[in-house]
Amino acid sequence: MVRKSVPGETLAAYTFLAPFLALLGIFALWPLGQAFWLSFHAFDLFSPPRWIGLANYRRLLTQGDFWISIKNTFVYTGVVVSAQTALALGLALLMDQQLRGKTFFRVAFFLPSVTSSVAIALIFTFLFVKTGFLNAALAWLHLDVVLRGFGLQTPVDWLGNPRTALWAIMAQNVWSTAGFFMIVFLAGLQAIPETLFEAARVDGASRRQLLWHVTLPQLRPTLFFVVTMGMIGCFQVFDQVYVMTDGGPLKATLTTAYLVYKEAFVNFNMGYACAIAFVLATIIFACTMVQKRLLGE
Amino acid sequence: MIARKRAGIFLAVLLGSGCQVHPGGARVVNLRFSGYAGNPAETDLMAKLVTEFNRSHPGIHVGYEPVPSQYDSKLLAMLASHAAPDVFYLDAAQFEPLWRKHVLEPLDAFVARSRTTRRHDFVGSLVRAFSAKGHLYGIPKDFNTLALFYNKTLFDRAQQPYPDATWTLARLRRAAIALTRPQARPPQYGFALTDGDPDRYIPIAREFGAALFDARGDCTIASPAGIGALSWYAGLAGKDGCAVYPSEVGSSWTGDVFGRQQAAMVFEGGWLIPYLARAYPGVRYGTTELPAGPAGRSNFLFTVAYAMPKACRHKAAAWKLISYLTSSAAEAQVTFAVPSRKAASARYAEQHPRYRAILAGARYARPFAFGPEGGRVVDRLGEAVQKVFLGASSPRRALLAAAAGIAAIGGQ
Repeated sequence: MVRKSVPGETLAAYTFLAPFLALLGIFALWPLGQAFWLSFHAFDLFSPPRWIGLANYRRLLTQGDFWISIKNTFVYTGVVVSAQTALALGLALLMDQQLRGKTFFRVAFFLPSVTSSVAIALIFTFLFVKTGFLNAALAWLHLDVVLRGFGLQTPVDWLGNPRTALWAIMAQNVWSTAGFFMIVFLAGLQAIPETLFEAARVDGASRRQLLWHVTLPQLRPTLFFVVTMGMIGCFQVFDQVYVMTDGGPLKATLTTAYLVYKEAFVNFNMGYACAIAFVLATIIFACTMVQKRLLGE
Repeated sequence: MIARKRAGIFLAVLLGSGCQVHPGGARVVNLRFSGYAGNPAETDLMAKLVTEFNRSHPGIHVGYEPVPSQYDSKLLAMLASHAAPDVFYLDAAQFEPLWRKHVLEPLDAFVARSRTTRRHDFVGSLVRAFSAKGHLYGIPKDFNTLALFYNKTLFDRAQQPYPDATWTLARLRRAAIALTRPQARPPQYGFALTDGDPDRYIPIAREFGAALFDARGDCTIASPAGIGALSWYAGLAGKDGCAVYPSEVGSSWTGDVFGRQQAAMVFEGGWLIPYLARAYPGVRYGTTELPAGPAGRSNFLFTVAYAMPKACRHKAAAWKLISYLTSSAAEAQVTFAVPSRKAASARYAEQHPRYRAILAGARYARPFAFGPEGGRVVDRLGEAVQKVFLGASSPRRALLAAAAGIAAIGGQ
């Protein structure tokens, strides 16, 4: 039943909301509008913005760097979102069992997501160097044969090789975010009423059937949240790239968010950077809508 | 005496800042001074000089704000938002881009009135690096050039004579091959190359006879000389097998590879000297000029000046600080680069023999600066060098692509 709104109550509500709305307006909406306006201008911060219509958008369509960054970002997002969702779900299902030392593992898996991403990126840089731990471990496990099978020279300079650099950053990101999404899935699992499982068990459902027909469908809203948040995070990947590779080698890790930064604060093409940012925002919005269709709510 | 000095300063401050200072010194001019935080020795000295300046100039208070990273971006953003410090480090590479944006204050009038800060007191090439259209926009702080660093222990072990100023690039290659021991533990190489930066390749290309730009401003790096230089340089690590990239041995720059004694020779600037003293004090090494190429000698001049923004509100006070920081007394305390005054630089090389090669290089070195879009020119050339190093392209194709890219941004 919908209650008719009382004028006095509405006023009170807006009064309470006012501080937040003011902040949102000043620090989010107004800059957003300003950025949109700038995306139609040439602006180097020094001379006043000059109206150039759609030239920035035309330029990004014809500039190689933009397309390279889009390709990298999509590959990155596709791989990281699938891997982190699968890993998080698997860990959550494991952690939901009656395991010994469950709390320890929950904390251990969650820790990376409360650690500064810059600190993690720095540590992974050391792991990924040619003389680093990862190569030593792979050699010890005799897995370097597999790498050579892929045509890589071992030991691999993970961040220095254009073929591996993006994958190294992906691995780092999956590791650092899976823990957080595991907790989200765990919360989702706790919310499934026990009665559903009981009813299914009475009907003679096997463990696998329970998983496929009770647990997963019930997790749908959680899955939507995890995939959407993961996707938005991936599309905006910046800090790892900034710390670990600077978009190199040979643009192998040039992501769209990093390109925005580079155009804005290295080349000082503010208008062009705004245009790229808006195209990226449009892509994220479109992908979220597609997902909403696929996963429902 | 002190009273007279104070009165002079007081007057200068009064003139420069209008109503900011009242008789009795109740109001103080606040200045902001910023630079990148390069190495601890430098930031320590700057902090000390600023403290001394504040003590001897009661009417002025200077706040020192070192910037730990991304200094160029931060400076540009501050200048654009009218929040720039009153005195700041100006890198030679940033001079032309900023000069074209009309945000730098010409210092000629101050220099003309000064008895201690005169143009001819400073090394000429440094003054030229911060001059445009006859005006001077920065008082040079100090400088570095590249030198050939060689590890005496590794040379002795391989029974090779130490490099000297008569060496050529061909001689360096022969020595590098003789000094390479890939089977040693850890493996040892004759030379180390920077992988993404063109700052070693460009001097080598010039020594091969290549020019970055012709008289019309077109990029000519893809000339036979430029291509030959890149083949030679990348070939040290490729077919000759006598050079290593830092990442190959888990390091981030060639100076560090040299410190670990995994490369017997590197081209580095004077900044490596304090680094080695701190991180690898046991290494026995010497320095000499970069070897000459088929077309003669070349080198890079890395230099920084003190400048003030056009929008500075306390210009006279800012000038006081600049002339204090570049005074003979201040420059005598520098320990990390060659000071900018002619007299101080000569004395410095006397006292620190390893910097003699750095000073010698300055005779023919050209500033590390590539015009108003210099950052992008360097990016394109760096890409070309990296492509060749990674085996993704031939020197010819990589340099042609770089030249086309540079032409697209408008060259110099």
